[in-house]
Amino acid sequence: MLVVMLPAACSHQPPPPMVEVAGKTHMPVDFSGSWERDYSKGGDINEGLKKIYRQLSRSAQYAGTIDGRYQPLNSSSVSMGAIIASARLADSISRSDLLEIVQGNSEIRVNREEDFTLTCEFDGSTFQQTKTAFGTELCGWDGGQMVFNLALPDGLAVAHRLTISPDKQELHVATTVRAGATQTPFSVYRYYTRIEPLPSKYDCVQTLSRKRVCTIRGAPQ
Amino acid sequence: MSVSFRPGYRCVGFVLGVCLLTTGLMTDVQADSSLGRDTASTAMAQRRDLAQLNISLAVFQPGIPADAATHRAQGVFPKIRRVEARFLPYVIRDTLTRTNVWGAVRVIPTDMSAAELLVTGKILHSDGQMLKLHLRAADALGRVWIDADYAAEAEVLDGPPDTGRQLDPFQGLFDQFADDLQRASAQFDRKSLTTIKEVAVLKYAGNLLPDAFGDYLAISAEGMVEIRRLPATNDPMLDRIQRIRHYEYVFIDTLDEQYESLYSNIAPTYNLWRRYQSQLARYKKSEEQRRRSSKSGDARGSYAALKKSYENYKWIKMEEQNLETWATGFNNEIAPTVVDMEGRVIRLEGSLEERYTVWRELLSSMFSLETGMTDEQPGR
Repeated sequence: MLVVMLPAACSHQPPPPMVEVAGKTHMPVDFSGSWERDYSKGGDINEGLKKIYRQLSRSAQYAGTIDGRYQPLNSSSVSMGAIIASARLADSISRSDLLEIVQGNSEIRVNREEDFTLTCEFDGSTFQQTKTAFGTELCGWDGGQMVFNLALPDGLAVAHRLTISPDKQELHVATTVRAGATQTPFSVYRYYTRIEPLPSKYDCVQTLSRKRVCTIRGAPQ
Repeated sequence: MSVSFRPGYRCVGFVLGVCLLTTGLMTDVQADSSLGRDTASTAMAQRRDLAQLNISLAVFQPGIPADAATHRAQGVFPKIRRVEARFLPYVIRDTLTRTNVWGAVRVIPTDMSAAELLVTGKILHSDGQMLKLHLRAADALGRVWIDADYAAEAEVLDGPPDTGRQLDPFQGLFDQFADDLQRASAQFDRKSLTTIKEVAVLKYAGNLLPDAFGDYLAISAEGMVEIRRLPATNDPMLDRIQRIRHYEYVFIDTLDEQYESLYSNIAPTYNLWRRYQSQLARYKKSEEQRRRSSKSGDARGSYAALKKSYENYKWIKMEEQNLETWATGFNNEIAPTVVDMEGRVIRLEGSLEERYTVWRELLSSMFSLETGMTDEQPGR
């Protein structure tokens, strides 16, 4: 039944090993560039859910033997339901096929499709926290990985962890969602490959009243 | 859009310099301190007296926090703040002018003259929905008429934003300031207002020719400017200085035209920007209230509840980021106008400073000739 409910093209795999970095600077790794989702990599979210389900089942059966009473598997359905919800949310918020990463000396911006841009500004400290009435964001470097954490007032927590391969051609994004009373984390893993976008034929400038105004490159003004 | 100088202003300094050299600056400009004899009601008399008082509005301090890292969190867009610092004084200038109470009301780049009544301000907060300013008005004697914070919420932002000089959404704030300024003036009688004008002239004269006018004013123990003595009514040097002051007003009026041009050109874009800002501020406010007061109908921990929670946050973040894009668009759109105006102001200020230098030298030479004092004399 779970297989029917959940998207099929997702994975639940252990994260790849951390990229070695030489020393800790403000920007230990350069993520900048255009990245396209690699559908050939990344497994099935259902596998991850099955694994968790089996773990919970074993725990329930083990608890039953201690009490000397029969413990039906659905005794863990509340926490399993919460995990399924977390899995669906993790899947839905990590669907971007393209990532555009702009990295400067003091800021990194991860532009995603149909979602807000993940941003992190650096002032020398390891992590930056931004707290508003709507949520708390924490971001920074964890070794060679870039971490974006979001905690919402109702207990929902979303984390993105970006890792780049040693040859700089592959980007790995782990998205973890924690929610509900159990706060059991569920992670999905996406792989992206570096692409070189075609050079634009247009010169564009953003305006307020006329929105984006473009002219053909090289055309007389 | 380019704004051209009136041809006559370009050569004002040159003409004046020639006049100074060839004619000795024959005084044909009357001192503007003569007040008509008014026998009407006190209020009418007061109104008439105030009409003689000129107001200078300095470009505001933009109130940009020094720590750039806090700008995003505080919703401060530095370039836009700098534009607002020029734009808002002009709205006050328009408001004060419309009251028909005061003399000339001019926007000036800095406190570059001995103003009769100088209004300065600082932007404390501006997000389209709420405007908070610190405003200060002080006369030439150093008396503070107003020194207070003014805050207001946007009144109307639903009209078409591209209609040029529509009523400002914060007009209530500016009206309040105009009322307060007029109320503050009630404590001063005609004599006080005349004194303000006299002190302003003497300050100006002291700045221009300290040898001759440096000791007419003194600072009291309370820090107030006091008149120690007055020049003779037919003092030729004072007449010359009055004439130079008249020309300075011409220059300032030219500067003022630049601010008016800026105001007219960017008002539609600026109002559009404030509308976007206001929409986001209103949404944030309602979202905060919703979070505090209501509960979601979805079961806690369900996918629907999680999705709704994330989507609400996502929407606010995307709107904030759109606002940054719009801020960039605003800057791109008005940059040519601002750069053009800045260039003109700098050129005008520069040419005025150059003329001051020439005037000071000429006046100093004339003063030496007339008094028989030279640089070689002791005590000079």
